[in-house]
Amino acid sequence: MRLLLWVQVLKFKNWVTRGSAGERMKAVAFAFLGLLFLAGLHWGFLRFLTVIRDVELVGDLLLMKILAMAFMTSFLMIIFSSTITSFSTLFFSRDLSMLVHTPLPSRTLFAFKSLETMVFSSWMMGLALLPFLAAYGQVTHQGAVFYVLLSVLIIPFVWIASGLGIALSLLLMLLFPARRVREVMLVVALVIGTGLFLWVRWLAPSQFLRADTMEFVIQYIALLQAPTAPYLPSYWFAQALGGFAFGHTAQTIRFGGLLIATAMAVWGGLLLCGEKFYYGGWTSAQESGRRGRRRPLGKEWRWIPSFFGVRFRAILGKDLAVFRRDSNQWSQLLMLVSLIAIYLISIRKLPLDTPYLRALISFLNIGMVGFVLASVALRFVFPAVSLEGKSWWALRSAPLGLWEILWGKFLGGVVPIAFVGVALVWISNAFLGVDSFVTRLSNVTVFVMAITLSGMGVGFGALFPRFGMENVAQIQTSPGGILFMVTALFYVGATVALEAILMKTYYLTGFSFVARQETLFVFGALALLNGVAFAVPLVLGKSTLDRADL
Amino acid sequence: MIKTQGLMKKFQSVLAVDRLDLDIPPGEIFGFLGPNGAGKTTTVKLMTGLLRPTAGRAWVAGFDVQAEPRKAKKMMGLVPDQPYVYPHLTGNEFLRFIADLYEVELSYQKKKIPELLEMFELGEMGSELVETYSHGMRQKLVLAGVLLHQPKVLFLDEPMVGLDPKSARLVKDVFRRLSETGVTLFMCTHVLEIAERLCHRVGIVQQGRMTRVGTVAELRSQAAQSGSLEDVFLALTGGDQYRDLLKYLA
Repeated sequence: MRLLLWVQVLKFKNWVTRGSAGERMKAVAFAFLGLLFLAGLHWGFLRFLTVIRDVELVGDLLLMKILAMAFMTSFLMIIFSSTITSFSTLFFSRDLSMLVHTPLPSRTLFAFKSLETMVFSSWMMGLALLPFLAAYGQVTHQGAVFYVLLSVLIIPFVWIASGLGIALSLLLMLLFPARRVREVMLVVALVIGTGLFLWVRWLAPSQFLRADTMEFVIQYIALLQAPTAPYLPSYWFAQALGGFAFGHTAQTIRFGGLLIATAMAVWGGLLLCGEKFYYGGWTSAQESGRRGRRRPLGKEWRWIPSFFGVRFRAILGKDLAVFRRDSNQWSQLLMLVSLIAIYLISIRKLPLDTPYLRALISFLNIGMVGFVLASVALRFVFPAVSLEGKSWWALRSAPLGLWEILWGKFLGGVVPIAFVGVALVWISNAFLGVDSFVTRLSNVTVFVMAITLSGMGVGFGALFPRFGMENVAQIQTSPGGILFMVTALFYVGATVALEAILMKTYYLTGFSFVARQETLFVFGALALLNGVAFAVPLVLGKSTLDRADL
Repeated sequence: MIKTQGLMKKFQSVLAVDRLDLDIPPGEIFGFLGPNGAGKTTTVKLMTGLLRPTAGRAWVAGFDVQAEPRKAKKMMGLVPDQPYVYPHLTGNEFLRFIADLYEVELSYQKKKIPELLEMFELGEMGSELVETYSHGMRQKLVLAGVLLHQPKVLFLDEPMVGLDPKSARLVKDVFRRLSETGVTLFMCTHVLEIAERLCHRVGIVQQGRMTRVGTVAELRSQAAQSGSLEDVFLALTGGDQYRDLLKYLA
């Protein structure tokens, strides 16, 4: 095990010391941008938690409840993420075919791959929790000990969640041998569905906004005091930290101890299962019994309209066939469906008692749909170039230019994204009962956003190609993927901020002549913003691919 | 048909290809030999437009690869050193994809694809996903792919790797036949016996520089060796030092 971990250290060391000056500069720039983004998140969380803390009577209880909600969401997401990640790391990773032939005990190999899975599946969630927890510590006036305790307890918390995810994938591989990916994914979909149901059922976030519907204050307090899934480690983690924050040391020791003991038990159980079942699962994963569809020759992409031209049809048809058969993409699709479901359920349950609130939420809905579209673009459009992988030579040696390749990727992304965006905004507007102006504004905005975000996705994907990556999840979480997401969120934020001026003008003046100048400025700025966000990444990406040493 | 002038490629401080001058006429099979890391694959990538040269130019069928890449690429076919093919496509779909990229007429594809698959003994595998193919089968699929658009120039980077003896014989016959019809073949290989039997001329590259070029007979006289091409190659590249090392295996 020490040897395997040492190899990882060497890999990292070589990456740091052998990289070119340009690569090092890039890494520093990424780190700086990442820190900037985390600082922005921290600022937002700090403001939000300060407002919550200052709520009279129930401020502390609300803080505690929010902590429990954040941990439970993270807990479920890490389980899901490690289930998906472990399929690649434990069963389909390229280095395994070499490692299983060495005299390494299967238990050691399993433990190493499990650790790898834990890191891959939780680092992002951990990073996102960091600014939230730092803000929580500041709002509740904590000292250094709180942060030490947090750093210690987050390890068993993540450990348990990842361990459960890995155990689930081990079980699935045992139950469905020989790459029965469809069945495995069906079970994963079921797990997501259950997770989603539990999330909504246990947290019921909309109830906290509806304090006015409770007959007595005491009823609301009781709701806040009610434990959030007390048998889940997320609750123990929240209790241990919250207990410390509010001076209940015994509570911290009790729940902290429970967390650590459970993590140890999960790890022990996992190793036992791994020793017994891992090798069998791995060998059955290597068997492949899938067949392509028997289509008459020449009919492969006949359903793609001929006006796209022969080459575009070929690129689109190939991309869609690969997408349909790539199980990693399916899991991404399931994640997307769950994200959209959570969003629509939340919209449906929002209390919209006043016209002002209805107008405000309807407008903010544009931003939220933009956020969903950015996530969709990150999952399906950004990886499009990198997913060519080592077969990139086939496209590059063919008589077609880079613009044609990028255009093909763009067309493949923009149609489903625009469809998702328009459907989402249409359904959420129906739930919200939005007026005609906001309906028109949101439909047009989301359609334009879908085009711009697709262009950005292809552009950033070309700017940061990762042809050597093993699966789509690694491409998304690469520095380029994170930079794309941050930029996409800035773009969505800027669009909403500009349209806020339109909204104000509309509600105050009904777009009278007085406001014409302001309106023209907004449309001009939006055109410029979309033009730059669409074209700049594509131009830079094309030039990067042009210079790339393949 | 293939021409290079002062072709050079530098990767940071490493000079991978050093001022390569070549002129290969139509119908010639040119063998490009050299030790591992000598710059053979980089040369192929430069001549097929997969890499930009640091200096110099390359022409294929009269078209400058950098200035007129589409016209040049239309005339050539590439078999890369590793037959990476989209694993989630079937053999049929891959060939359709490649043929469409080269805008080959659909009616011709319908006739030619089954013929080529049959010729490479992949007829039964056409509807199977490429992920189920062995290395040799993928190699044959890529070979079938480059023949679809009837190129004038073929770049072959280790085309025999992974092929069984029967398939290797077939591929050699195909290459000879193509050469007879005027197709130029530029072939990197480590299998010196194949180069000796198949190539009209051979170039030997070491540390990016082409140190020798000529027919096998000419190289023999240059090296003052009378044996096989392997002996000539080892004499020219200094590869026979390995004999001293064999004692460590005793």
